Amino acid sequence: VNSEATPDELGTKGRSSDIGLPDWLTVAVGAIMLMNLPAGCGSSSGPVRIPVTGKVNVDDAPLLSGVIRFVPADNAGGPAAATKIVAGEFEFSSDNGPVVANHRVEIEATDFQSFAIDDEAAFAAAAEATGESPVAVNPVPPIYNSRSTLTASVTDADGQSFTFDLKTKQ
Amino acid sequence: MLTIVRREPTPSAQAAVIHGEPLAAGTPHNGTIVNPDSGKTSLRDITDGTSNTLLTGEAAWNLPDYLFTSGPCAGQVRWGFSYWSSPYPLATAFTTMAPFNPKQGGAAVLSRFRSEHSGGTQFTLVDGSVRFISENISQTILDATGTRGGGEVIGEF
Repeated sequence: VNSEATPDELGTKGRSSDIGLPDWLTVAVGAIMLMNLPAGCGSSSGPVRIPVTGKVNVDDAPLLSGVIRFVPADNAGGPAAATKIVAGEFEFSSDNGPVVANHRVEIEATDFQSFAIDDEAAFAAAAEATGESPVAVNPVPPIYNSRSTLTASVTDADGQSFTFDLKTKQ
Repeated sequence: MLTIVRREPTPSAQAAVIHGEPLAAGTPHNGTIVNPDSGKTSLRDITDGTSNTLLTGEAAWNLPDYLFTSGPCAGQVRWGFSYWSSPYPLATAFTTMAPFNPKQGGAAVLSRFRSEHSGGTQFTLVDGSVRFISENISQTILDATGTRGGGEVIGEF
């Protein structure tokens, strides 16, 4: 079912924050369960997701805007979870949280570029001015995202919290 | 209905991934439809098997919190951002990176496959078949279906 309905990932400039699971969706999901559809499209209840919270600091200061992903590691089954980091904090609900597993954790900053990433005009102007790709380098280094060594072990315990202290200089 | 690029579970190849942002020039893709930096891809390059590899997937215009950021429409809901063919980095390159099938998330989830269906997204595989993939699919398997030559053994999905 639509447990990914509130992935509330990655805020960008002026983006609104979480909105809850809409009522119509709850009704729709209930209707589907009542209809007892064959396995496949939207009929299964989905994996149990854990509502975890946490903090992310970069060089001892809260990461103001970013995204964090929990990706099941070691070929563990289950979907990955992602949510945004706002003012150094993140929060998953039981709708979008990680599954019980050891996870590889990936953290990136957002809003670090001088223009919105989908602003074609600004992108083109910057590319023309510099003669090269105007894509800025993410201030959170690759060892925390594309080559992340961060891990988190998520269990089914209540109130789990994780703090990640990232360093841009090793 | 867009090209596929995927996240890579192995650290060495993860640079090939689009992280929901414009992809730096010179970074090769490991999916089926690739940028010029990756060279040509032909059927013989789909070594994971054409029935195990995604070709294209849905990209619904369904993001209520994705707004125009500039120009005369600034502030209005934009819903989506894709072209059939465009050199702009975000417009046609997609990734299996989480979140899969987001219903909101603004600019940062543009490169994620997503649909208006309940519980998943439709994909076309390289063999021409169409599959509905649940959003609860294992991320490991989802990533594996994204690569053309990752060598993963994924079994049924």
